[in-house]
Amino acid sequence: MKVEVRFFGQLIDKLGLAVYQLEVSALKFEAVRDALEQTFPALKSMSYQLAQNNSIIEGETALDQSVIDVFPPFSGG
Amino acid sequence: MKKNNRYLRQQTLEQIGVEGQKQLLESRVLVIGAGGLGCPLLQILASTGVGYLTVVDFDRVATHNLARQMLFRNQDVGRYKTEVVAEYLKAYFPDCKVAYHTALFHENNAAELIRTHDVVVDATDDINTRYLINDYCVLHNKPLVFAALYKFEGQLTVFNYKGGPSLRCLYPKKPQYQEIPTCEQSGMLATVSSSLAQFQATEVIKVLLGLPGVLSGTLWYYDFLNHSQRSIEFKVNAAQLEYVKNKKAETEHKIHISIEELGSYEGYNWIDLRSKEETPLLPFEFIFQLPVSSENFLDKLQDQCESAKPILFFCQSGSRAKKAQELCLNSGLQNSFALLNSIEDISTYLSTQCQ
Repeated sequence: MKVEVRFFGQLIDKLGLAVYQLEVSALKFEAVRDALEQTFPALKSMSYQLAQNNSIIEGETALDQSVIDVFPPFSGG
Repeated sequence: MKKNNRYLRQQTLEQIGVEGQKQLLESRVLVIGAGGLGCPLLQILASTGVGYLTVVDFDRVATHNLARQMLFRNQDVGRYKTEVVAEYLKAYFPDCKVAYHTALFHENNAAELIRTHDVVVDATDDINTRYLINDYCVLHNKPLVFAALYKFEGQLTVFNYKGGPSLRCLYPKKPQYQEIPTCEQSGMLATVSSSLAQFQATEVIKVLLGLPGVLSGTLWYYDFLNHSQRSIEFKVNAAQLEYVKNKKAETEHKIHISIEELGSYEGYNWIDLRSKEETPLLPFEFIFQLPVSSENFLDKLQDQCESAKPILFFCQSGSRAKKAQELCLNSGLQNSFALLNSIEDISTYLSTQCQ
């Protein structure tokens, strides 16, 4: 199934896009993360968090098909 | 309430009142960074009547700062930012007692600075410093108001507030060198940095006065181009807090050193990062001069240095040393340190040691 993934900050520039329809095997954190890193290998070495419905996604978080946000740390000031 | 009370309108707010204003005048806020976030934030905090502000920044005013770091004028270019900020704030906001440290914020001065303030503000532009600030706030139990930008996007949250989560709870994996582009590479618009700084300053006031709605455990994100926003909740990560509290995080930060910690000067590969015109000269035969701007800097460094000894970088005041050390750290090179003392102190030290 597909979920919409949204990138923020420097990820948009590094990956070349802001939105992506990601094919995932299951609506679970690890499946989403693995699918993301397989599609965008640059993410493997980067620091980022996944969030859905305004909550950080952790191991056991129940996911639905709403947008998944991919947030990197920002550091500019 | 007197008509010549500059805080009259603020005091009228039931959330502040006379008592709240008095509290602000007794509050001590540490602001690390006097740049795009720091300048407007310092100005507005002094304006609201925060009684004690301490500014930490090692840098000098540059022309390209002037568009968004509005406390600086053309004639301030070349001066230390801290000195100019202190002069400005004292002139406009006489109720505010301003202290400043013209220095890198590092593990040798972090504890004392953080311990002696009520709230800490991260207005820096460097991810390693941000983790350092966070770790010391965790260790000394101080709330940390964090704001950061990328182009038109901002993040804002308050770490370590009444048992709330920290930076490492939100982003446990520290970004590597060059993972996050600098402001120099990505650019910054004054209206964006100033806007986020105002929100950051409001969080400071809320923390100082215990007002509701402090952004603890919530990362507020805003895009100033398309106005999308998020309020993302995140939790305490106990393992990450343990990592900091057990001082294991300290080893990440031990990259800066001062003369007192050196032991024998002979135990290092001494690298002078200054250009050949800079004085005073340090004509010791064990010092290798390699300006930080040299082509193939890392290759030349590896060719020159004995791998058994750590590399010791120094420059005029420590800032180039810090950058060179970070370059090494993230290139996987051998152990290296940035010597943070001034060139005059280093010169005195070596002259004494080598007699």
